[in-house]
Amino acid sequence: MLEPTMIECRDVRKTYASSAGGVEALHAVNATFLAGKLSALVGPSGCGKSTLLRLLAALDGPDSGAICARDTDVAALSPGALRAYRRDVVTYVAQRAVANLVPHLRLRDHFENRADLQLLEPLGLSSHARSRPDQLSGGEQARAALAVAVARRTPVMLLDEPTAELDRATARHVVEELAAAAARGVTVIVATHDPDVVEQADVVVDMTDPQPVTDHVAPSSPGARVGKPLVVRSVTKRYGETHAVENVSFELPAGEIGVLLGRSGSGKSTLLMILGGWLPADSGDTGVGSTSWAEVGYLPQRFGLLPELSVAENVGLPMRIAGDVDDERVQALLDALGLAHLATRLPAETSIGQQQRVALARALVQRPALLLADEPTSHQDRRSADRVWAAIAAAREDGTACLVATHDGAAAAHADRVWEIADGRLASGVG
Amino acid sequence: MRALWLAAPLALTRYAGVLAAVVVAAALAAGAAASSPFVRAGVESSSLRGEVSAMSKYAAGLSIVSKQNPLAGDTARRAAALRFGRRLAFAGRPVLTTRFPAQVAGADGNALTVIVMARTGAIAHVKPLSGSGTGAWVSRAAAQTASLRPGTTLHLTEFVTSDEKAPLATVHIGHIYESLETNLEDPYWANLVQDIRPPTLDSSAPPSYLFVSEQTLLRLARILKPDKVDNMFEFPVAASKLRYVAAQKLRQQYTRLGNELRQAGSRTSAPLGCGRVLYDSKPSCEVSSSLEAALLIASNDVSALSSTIWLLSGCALGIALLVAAAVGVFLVRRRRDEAELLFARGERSVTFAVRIALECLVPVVVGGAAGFGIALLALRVAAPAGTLDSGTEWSGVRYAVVACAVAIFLVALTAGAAFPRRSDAQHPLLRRLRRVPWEILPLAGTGIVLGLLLTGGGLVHDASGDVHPSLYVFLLPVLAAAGLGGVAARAFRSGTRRTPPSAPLPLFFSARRIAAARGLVIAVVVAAATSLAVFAYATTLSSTVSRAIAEKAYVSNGSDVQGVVDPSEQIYNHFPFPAAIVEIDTTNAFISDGHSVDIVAGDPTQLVDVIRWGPWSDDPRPLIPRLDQSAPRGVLTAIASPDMPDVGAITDQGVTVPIHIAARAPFPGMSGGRPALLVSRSTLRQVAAAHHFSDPGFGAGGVIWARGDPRQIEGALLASNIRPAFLTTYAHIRGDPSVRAGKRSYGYLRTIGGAAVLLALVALLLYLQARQREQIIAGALLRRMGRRVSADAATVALETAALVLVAFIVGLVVAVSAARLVARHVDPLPQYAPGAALVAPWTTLLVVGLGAAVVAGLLAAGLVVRASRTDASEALRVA
Repeated sequence: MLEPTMIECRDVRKTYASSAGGVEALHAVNATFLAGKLSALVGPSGCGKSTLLRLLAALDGPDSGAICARDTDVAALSPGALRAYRRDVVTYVAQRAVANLVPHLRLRDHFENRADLQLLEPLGLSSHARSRPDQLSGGEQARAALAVAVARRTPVMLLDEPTAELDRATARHVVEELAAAAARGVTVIVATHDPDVVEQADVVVDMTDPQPVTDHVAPSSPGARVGKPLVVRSVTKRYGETHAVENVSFELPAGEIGVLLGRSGSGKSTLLMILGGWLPADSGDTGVGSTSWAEVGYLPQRFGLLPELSVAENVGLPMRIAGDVDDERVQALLDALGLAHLATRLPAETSIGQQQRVALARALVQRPALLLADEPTSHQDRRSADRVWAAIAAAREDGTACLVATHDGAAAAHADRVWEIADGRLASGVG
Repeated sequence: MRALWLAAPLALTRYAGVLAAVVVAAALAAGAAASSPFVRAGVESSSLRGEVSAMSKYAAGLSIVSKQNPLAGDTARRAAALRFGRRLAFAGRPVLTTRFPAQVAGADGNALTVIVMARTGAIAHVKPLSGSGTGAWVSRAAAQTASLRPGTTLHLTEFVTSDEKAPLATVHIGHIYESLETNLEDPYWANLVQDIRPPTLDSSAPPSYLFVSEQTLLRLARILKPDKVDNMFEFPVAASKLRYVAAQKLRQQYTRLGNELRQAGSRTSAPLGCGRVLYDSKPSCEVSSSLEAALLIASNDVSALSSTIWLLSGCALGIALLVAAAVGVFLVRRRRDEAELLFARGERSVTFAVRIALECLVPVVVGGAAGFGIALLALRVAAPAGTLDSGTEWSGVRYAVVACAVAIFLVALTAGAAFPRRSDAQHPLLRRLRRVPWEILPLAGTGIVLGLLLTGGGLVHDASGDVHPSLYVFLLPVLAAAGLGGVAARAFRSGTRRTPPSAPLPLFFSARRIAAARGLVIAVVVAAATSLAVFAYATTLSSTVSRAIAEKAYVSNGSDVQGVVDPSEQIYNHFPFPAAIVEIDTTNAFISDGHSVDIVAGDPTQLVDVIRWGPWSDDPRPLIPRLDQSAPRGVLTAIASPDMPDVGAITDQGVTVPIHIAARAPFPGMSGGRPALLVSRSTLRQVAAAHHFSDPGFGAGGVIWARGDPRQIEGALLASNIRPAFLTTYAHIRGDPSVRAGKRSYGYLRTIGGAAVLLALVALLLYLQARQREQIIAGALLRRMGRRVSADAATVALETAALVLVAFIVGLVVAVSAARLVARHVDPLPQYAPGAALVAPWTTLLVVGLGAAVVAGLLAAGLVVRASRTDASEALRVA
């Protein structure tokens, strides 16, 4: 039996204004989303997944084309009908989990019907019903946002990268909930680059631009340096009774990629911050001498790009400050990471995934002896993630010791060494 | 979501910044609104006190003149008066007077009348000239006429008698005092001025007083047997305790008691000798008080100040409400995620706004109460005791409540407007309008206001005839600076975008930040430019008015003291101050086009010594010796006023007189809007003789100008042979109510401008602080890249100083340009020459502007240093 169409997009176009002129976010998109199905919107970061989701949620209108929900053109609705559509038909879940909760309300206050509090139980949040959003971890916020969204019981749910910042186990819970909602007849549309979500999806809508892209160009390495091995001995860090990092020791030779695999809260970010000199260890030796940018390139989860500088200026900033400008190096990194066409844009005019790659380029631009990258692919689609890994691999070739903290098990495929970390301890290591 | 409504009343406690902003906005609004009735009450009371002080507490108090009373009851009447005084509110120590006229016997054949007077405390209010011990006090005039000295005996007889055998009374002269005419500034004599000063210039001096004790008066009266004695009972008002509301009640009491005193045989009137009808059908008592006049003047003062009070509280309220409006936007920005979430859930912007109003209710009540309390406290501290009555307080409460309600409405309104909406939700017309630069509106307003100002709208007349700067005067710099500030900000941002990447790092960073600046920074720069413009404008106009008034005062007054005299008079005796008698002919001379020209003639040598001039470039004194330069016979050498046409002759009394203009400058004796010539009087006399016209001409007037301490000069002039009339001093011009009102208005405006400058700088620093907090990670990463905190601080200091400097330059250009345009149109005394010319206090303005830039830069640098100490690991840690 043919499934009924819930939402259909016909030749949808959307252009945003930017400092560098108009940016076409959607170019004649045609897509069909079936009722009661889990649809995955996939494509490289910056391809317009989030924009399309916002249009489907009626948060914005297309410049041209039609978005029909059950044969009604959403763009043609009156303001009142649009509000009713947003209120009764769709539930939009934003990419940042915390943005889906009202900060001054307790979690239980987000549910109109007290009976819906039971939705928290399978997500492991029953004990947090009285907590405010800022008292929850990132993973808990994401699950809470999902529970609140499900409780609205609208026929359509639109989710933007719901698993981007979640560890694998938590992400699995979320995906299962989404599949269950679809099974209940809810039309679930998820913008994602998470292969698990894609695997579970009934329909995959690929928004990849069909234009050919020069792929995986590694940065040139005329200035390759002799790297230094990273030798970590018995590093411990505690917050009160909590063992954030406990007696961690490992070695990462120069010119190798090491991956720290762990769930959210396992201590991997804390360990990276200790190695980067951002946090002092209670005991142990990190073996990292100078933490200057030229020695230790750092990619944090919050990127710290300067909003007033262009993408290229942000990448070249460390060299500019050091008085050693190398425009070719900057351009090579931008090319390798698929950012060349964004060089003159401000960070706010790019997607989160693109910003993350800009931050990686900035970390690599001075060919550091050590690269510390925290979840470098968390906002990347598969293709962009490959670019990220290629850039890291190129750094390895330059002699940089690259330590990557991630919850993405696929990262192991790119690593020379892998350590699993749980509860602040290295559980195992693969040489 | 029901929970949102339930949580709303206390929701803002979770957002400390927004909560503080709402409380402050409400406090500002309530304080500003309540200050209007409070300031009005304060001005009324302080003005009343000033007026009472000026007209004297004796004149403002109750005065009862009881005439033609029998001598026998005098002691009883005095006692009754003391009892009567105890019934009066705010009464000071009563002054009781008994008097009767008598004639000095044997005064060299000249009938000399004196008023024998027993008056409470009189001796303490005269200027003793000679004498000691006990005895009567006789005036210098009477002593000279009757050849009396201390220690001699004065023989008195009946006031009007031709009987040589009339009884004689003797009194021992103990002291001689200076004539009271020179002592009229003593408020003690306020109710007797009309008996002391001659009613007209041509009148002879009234009889002087012979001060004696009450016992002596009774003794003399028993001998001389005057028909009746007059009593005067004065009950001065205790001005230090008086306030406006109480004064109104006191006036009512005076009115009531006055009515009682006019009733025949009442318990109030009879003991004071009132309630009778005299032989000429007039009542025996005159009851008077100037309190009503003082109240009227105080009320007029408030009317005169109304525009200023309105402006002051209006500006403050405007700022408060703007803050409230900004808070609404700030609130939504601060809670952007929540607003986006609710928008995505289908909430109406109106619903959101109503809930925001509910959230603001408690903080606004708290802030409003605090603002009202501060305003109340400020008035209690600053204004006269008892200024506020419950009516004023309730009026303040009403104003504050309305202001708070408006503040809540504005917060909700702007929050609703800032609520997320679809980019295609706006009406196409509005979308098109958004593309129109907003600067067009204030610039168009500037043009309209300027047009109104240049066509005579710069001054307004109040009910009392005084002039004040109009609202347009204040609006001009605000509108012009707002419009031009916006244009300058656009141009500045556009310029900074072109800064090459190779520029030095501090310049590169500063330029990039300014280029990327959005609405909030633009708003702050425009606000700073507007505030600085208002400050500079008010300072410039204030300086212009001060300079113009000083110049006018010297020009119209000639020197320190001016008096009207006959131009043919001369001072015979040695006069102890430099003085010059100047002839001013405003009626006989004309120029060829028929316009009249004033001729001011004096002795050049004396004029150089006498004329006062300030530290201005157009000092006429160095030019005056040119009047003595030799010229062909019959040619009148003159210094011409700046507006005198360049002519070779004038017509004086129908005779054409060639003139030689030796120089041009403003000089004393000029009148506003009339050309004038300053000439040597001796030359004028020679020219008049040569051309056969009379000097002085018919209708010409004369003045004497004297230089020195005005008080001493006044005394000396009154004692001289010329006894000039209508003495005026430099202070008379400067104290003109229009001048005071104008300067006060500019003073208030300058205060408001200064406060607004501070607020703008605080806003700029708050913005920078917020930016630093948002960029903690970027700052920490910059440190790793080798950028030092000091370099970052220098960059932000440079950026901040540049923004303030741009604002300052715009403000200064607008202020001085606007002041130049309106200076002549806001002259508070246009009838006096010379016209107002722009005076820009460059040093003050540059110090303020550059100082603001430097201070803002330093504070901004301090913020960077402070932010650099923040633990970046907390920001880097992702929950």
